[in-house]
Amino acid sequence: MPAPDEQAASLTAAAAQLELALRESAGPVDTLGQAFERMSVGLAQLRRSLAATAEERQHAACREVMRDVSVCVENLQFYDRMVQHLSHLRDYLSGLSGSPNAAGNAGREPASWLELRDTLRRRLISEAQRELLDLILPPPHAHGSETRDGHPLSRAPLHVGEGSIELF
Amino acid sequence: MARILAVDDSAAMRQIVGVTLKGAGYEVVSAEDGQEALEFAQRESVDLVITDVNMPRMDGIALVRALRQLASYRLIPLLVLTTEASTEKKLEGKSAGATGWVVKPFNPERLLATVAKVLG
Repeated sequence: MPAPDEQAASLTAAAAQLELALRESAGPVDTLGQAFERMSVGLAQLRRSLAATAEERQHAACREVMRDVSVCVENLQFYDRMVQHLSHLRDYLSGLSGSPNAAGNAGREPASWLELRDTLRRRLISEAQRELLDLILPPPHAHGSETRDGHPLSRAPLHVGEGSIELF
Repeated sequence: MARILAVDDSAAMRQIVGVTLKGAGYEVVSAEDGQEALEFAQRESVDLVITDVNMPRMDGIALVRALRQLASYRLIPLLVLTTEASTEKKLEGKSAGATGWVVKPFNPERLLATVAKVLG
């Protein structure tokens, strides 16, 4: 087993590598988003200019490209979700490497792991993410069917409700 | 065309919402968190606010609550756009004064249909 300071250094390096990956991807994805925006605005202008004169097949081609832009926009949202997950992981690793208990004793002291687990759980931003964590790292008092709050663990897909719209 | 304020701490999400709305001809202004959005709203008016929930400084629910205290925003539609899909959170948003709740990832056509509907 590596020495505690080596473990801490590895965790710090892992957190730094995640940070680097997040930073490196931000610029290109921003450029991609700007390109989609130009395409979207350009297509809207094109549709307006075609409105009176163009043949149906030109309108159809225009609609098809707009549908593709729409698919890009919908799926680009998963990049944002990945960034959120990786940011939490980076914070978790940073917290772990900086904790006096974590690097050296976490494997031996259950209480310190539970504390770290609770810290991670508090940082999660949605119930779906918390349920995922509970499934992967069940709390010790959950017997496979309950969350730490005593609520039944959902067996429904974790992405239930995604894309739903409700007006009050 | 209507002016929409998009509030999200994620630059990518602000851009994604912007692509969707600008493509439909809306004017879009954005803020990085609830506090910035509230300060903007105290200076300027918009026709619709679309806000994320989990943000630093001021979250989306607190923003909705604060906007409803402003006379000029009492009747403005406020849509929450979030990864949160739990009933508890939705009820919290509803009681704060939100007009509707959209769960990410959103479908652009459905979002635009909802925007058109709430803008009347």
